[in-house]
Amino acid sequence: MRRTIVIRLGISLLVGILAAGIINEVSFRTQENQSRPPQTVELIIPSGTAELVKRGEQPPTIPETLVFVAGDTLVVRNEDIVDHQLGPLWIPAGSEASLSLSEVGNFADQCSFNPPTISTSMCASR
Amino acid sequence: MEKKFLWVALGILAVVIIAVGIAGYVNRQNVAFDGSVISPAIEAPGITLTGSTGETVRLSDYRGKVVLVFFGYTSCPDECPATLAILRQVRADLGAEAAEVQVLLVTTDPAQDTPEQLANYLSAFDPAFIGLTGSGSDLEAVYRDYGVTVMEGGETHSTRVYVIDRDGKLGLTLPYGMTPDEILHDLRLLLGSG
Repeated sequence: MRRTIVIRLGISLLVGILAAGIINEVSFRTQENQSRPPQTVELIIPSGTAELVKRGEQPPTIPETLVFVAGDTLVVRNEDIVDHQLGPLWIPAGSEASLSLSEVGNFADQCSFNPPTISTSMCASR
Repeated sequence: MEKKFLWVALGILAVVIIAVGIAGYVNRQNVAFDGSVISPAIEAPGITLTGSTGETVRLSDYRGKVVLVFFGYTSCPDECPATLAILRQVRADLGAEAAEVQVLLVTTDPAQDTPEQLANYLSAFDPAFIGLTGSGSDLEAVYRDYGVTVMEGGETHSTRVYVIDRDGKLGLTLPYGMTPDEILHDLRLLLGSG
């Protein structure tokens, strides 16, 4: 009797682990809005960007809207001779700034590329 | 035979639990800072302004501590009190290590924010917080050095907190919206206790 209980407990345990693994994998792979796996997104602010902005031109390497998926890491390298900001990032001249976008949300903030009224919209979704 | 089977099952379960624990730990370590990392870290631009204590305050006075610099104003209705409340919470959670962390609020509305006004305002959050004000030109220089744009009435969209390490290096900013736990995690890394 006791052996039977032990065997049934053991089998239940293994079946439970297997079921949890399958459910976890299936739910992960069927998330509707997951357009791609998380990755590192790199942007470069080229030298001369501040001059372009002064002339009212939009630097070609910086999109007006940036959309990420949760888990992405944004890396922005500033090769210009002045500091820049992109959404929540402040990037001193000659440096790079990185941010792990682990949470879903919008990051609307000022941007030095589109002054004075247009903001770069950054959005992380699942 | 049956007992052996049970032990194998328990062994598999133990391995799974340990593997999940290790994966979580490794993942946390890889993330390192939750804030925005600046690489290479730069020498923090100097700040010399009048403190809410009435005395001249220099950023270099706090060499050896981790300094959190935030720009805002005392009549700010939203981001400023929200950020200061979070920083108060973080300092409370740090316990004894809070003595190693200094919060500086640089006013963006010097017309209203006298040293006395700053002192009264900040004491409601944490008596250890220090407010900074100064002449228009002195403040403008600080805004420029830290990439802060101040609009009419002191409003600013630069809601991040600048984190300066014990050596005076600026290598981390905290975007608005970070939780106290995330900030605590980053500060503990900088303090060497994380």
